[in-house]
Amino acid sequence: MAPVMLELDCLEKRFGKSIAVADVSFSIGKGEFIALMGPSGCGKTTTLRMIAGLDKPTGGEIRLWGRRLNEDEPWEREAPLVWQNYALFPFLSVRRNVEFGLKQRSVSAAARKKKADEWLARLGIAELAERPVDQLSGGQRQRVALARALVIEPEMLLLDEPLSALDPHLRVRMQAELVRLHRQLKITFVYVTHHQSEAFAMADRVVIMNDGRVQQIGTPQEIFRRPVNRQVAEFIGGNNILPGTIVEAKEDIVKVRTAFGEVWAVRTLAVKPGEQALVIVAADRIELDNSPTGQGNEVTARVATLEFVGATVTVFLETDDGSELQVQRPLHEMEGGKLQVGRSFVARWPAEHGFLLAA
Amino acid sequence: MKPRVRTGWLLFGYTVIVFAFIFAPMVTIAVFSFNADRFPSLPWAGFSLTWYQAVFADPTIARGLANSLIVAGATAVISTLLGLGAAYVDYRYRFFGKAVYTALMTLPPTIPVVILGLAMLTFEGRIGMTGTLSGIVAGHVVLCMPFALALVRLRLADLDPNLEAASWNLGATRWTTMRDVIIPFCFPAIVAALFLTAAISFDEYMIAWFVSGLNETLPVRLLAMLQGQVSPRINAVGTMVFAVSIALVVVAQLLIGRRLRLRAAGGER
Amino acid sequence: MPAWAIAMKRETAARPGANLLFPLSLGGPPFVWQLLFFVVPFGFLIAVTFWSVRNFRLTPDFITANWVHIVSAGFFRAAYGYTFVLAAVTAAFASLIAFPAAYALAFKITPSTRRILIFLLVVPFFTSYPVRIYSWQVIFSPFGVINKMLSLFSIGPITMLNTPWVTVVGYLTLALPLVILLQTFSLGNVDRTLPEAAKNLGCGPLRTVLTVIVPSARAGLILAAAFAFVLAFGDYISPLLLGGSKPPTLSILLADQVKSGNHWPRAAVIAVMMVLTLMVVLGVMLAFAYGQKGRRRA
Repeated sequence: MAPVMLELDCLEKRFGKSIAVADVSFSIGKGEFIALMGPSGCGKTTTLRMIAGLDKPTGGEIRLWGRRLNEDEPWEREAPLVWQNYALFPFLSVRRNVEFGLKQRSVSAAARKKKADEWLARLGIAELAERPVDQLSGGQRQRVALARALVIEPEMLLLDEPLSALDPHLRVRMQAELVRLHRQLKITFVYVTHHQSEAFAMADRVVIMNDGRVQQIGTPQEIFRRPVNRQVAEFIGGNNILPGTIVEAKEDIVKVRTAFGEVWAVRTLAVKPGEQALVIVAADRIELDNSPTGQGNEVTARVATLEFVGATVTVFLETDDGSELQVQRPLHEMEGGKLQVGRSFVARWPAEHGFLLAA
Repeated sequence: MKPRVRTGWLLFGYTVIVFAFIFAPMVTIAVFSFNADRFPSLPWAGFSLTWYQAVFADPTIARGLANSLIVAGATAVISTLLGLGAAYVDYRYRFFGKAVYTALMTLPPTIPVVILGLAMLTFEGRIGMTGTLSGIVAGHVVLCMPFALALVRLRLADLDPNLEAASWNLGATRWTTMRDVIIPFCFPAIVAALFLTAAISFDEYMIAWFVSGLNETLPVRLLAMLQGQVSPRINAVGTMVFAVSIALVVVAQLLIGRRLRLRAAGGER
Repeated sequence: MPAWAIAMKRETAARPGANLLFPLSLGGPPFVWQLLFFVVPFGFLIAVTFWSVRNFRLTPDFITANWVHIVSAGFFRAAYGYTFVLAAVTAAFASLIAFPAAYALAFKITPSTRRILIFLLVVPFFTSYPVRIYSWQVIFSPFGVINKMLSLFSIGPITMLNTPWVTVVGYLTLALPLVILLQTFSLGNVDRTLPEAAKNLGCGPLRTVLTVIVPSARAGLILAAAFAFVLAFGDYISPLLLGGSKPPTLSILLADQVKSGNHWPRAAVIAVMMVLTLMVVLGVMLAFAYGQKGRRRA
């Protein structure tokens, strides 16, 4: 991994009696694209603001290249932020907005203008240089905000849900552009979002937060395949969470009695028979057959609803006693007429694709 | 339908009458200032500028005007600077005793000016500031600062809270942010405050009456003239004074009017 | 405002020792100024009520003679009652006269017209009040416009000056613009759905106004009346130029004490009495404006 640039060590932030961030620790490597993800109020934005110096930690330490950063004022740091609502200065033109950071660093007027124009061109908005900010569209403002942050050539860029105010198609385009920029500039991106798809699409590593704490850190794939607890599993979606009681426990697999009957799962927890646990089965690991094959875990159920996602379809199956199972199948199976509401299937998955989480 | 329309017209006519009542004094003064006749009444004796010429020739009026302009200028600048600082502190900070602070900043216009004037007289008399223009300015600033504060505060309410943070984030200290973000943002309100406080000070008669002594401002001179004989010169001076005040207020209104319009449009929720 | 922004504000203020220089440099001077030239003079004024005038000079002292002299004086009590009544009459008349106009401004006209009219209403505030009163003085005088017109019908001349009524006209000139503005503002803030609901239930326009709109805007209407009272109570110019100073109001008494004889302590007593009265009246009116909300939940 790249050299550690930023370290967050047991970071805590209290506002009066409420705790926004508690015991958050992780490191960020130089040039990494790391995403902080979680539901509203989980503390991700507060953590970002602490990195920027806009909130002072009430506990713990932030270190940049080993040096303690807690007491540094925001203007002493070099961690420009791209704001959710862009925070462009309404009384300045686009170019002057971009020049702002350079002006604070006493760069001469001529040099400022040159650099600002360079970056405006680089982000494809050179023609907007003289415009007042209130005439711009959301996407254009976004680029101005980016230019303003990047023109000072920082080693770290902070982004606070920068795409959430954009139209979906624009959002997807900007995602690709941000990734491209990151690869070109080779600087650290710290990206806050509550959209799982965004984080997973762009980031090298994702930090999942909830209730002010870090739930899980890992690559998108690691998190997707192995959520460490129920909150994460629910938050990232695409998982079936089956509560149940341990019936039998072998060395590396267990038999669990769930609402769907008895299923086998990988023994990722040290549980004994009689204890409660959750069986997690990813929706895309489940096959649908017409009749039981006797292999793996099998559940007979009827198709209740079909949810069109795009290239895949989410099939919601319901058993006779009302328990629901989520299955992700490719679109062409629906187009082939196989998936129809009311039709009964045997949902099947091998035991190694189900694992345990604490109840 | 008929009664509804009639009440509509009734209401309209009534409002016109009320506005006429409010503007009648100013209009009559202005009209009669050009009346050749000594006494401002009917019949109209013909258009004349004699009274204006008499006014321009009068040294006491000229001196009064000069003093008024100096006092108004100083009051405007000081009130606006102080009002800006107070407005920012009110916008940005919460602190112990803020209610008292706010009260102190906003109370003066609610106190009758007679009382303000007397208080200034007794106090300044004690410290030797009576009879000076700075003595008048001191009292005027007390009266005008709340207006400047209100105007700037109104503008600050529209400031996106992220803008200051963005400025810090890009390398500007608190002071530099003040210079590069807050003041440019508040600029229309600052200029409006300058004009408005100038207008208030220019017409202020009571504090000036108590404090000015021999250094009369124009309103004090006017007051003396008003208690004397009816003089057609008063119409001319009065009209000029109206013109100055109205010009200052109109400019101030135009500067803040745009802001208020946008707020009103958004506020109809 | 998002929670973190509020918290940011809170935090910045609470951080001990951290950068007090900035807010103090900005907020300190205004505070000091108001302290020095507003609070201190007032404190001084109260103190002066206990001082004496010896050999025509103001000397620090602690006597109650000034208070006794003024409060027991017949002319003071007469002036007090007169000023109070006139101010109350002004508050009432101003509120009543302003209301239909404010109603029209708030409900019946287009936003662009409203903007112009409000603009117009603000203008008189900042023009010379004494000159405007002088104008009325001339208009109402025996040789003024009104009497000249009445003489065309062989009426008069009527003496209108030096009466309480003309003084009230002067007070209205002072107060009416402010009262209309405040009433317009508070009427404008009335929830529009209420009068519509009343109309749906069959209320005629007048009844809707009286039973729905007025109670909803009550706080603002009372506040407007309170301001009219304060303005009229303290005014010096109208009773002087229009009322002829006979009978004198408190403001005229005050100015006289200063003009002739330089008896500042007695003037100070009058001033303090005025302030106390206004505080009480305002207190009562504000309590009345905001107080009885609970009872109305019938």
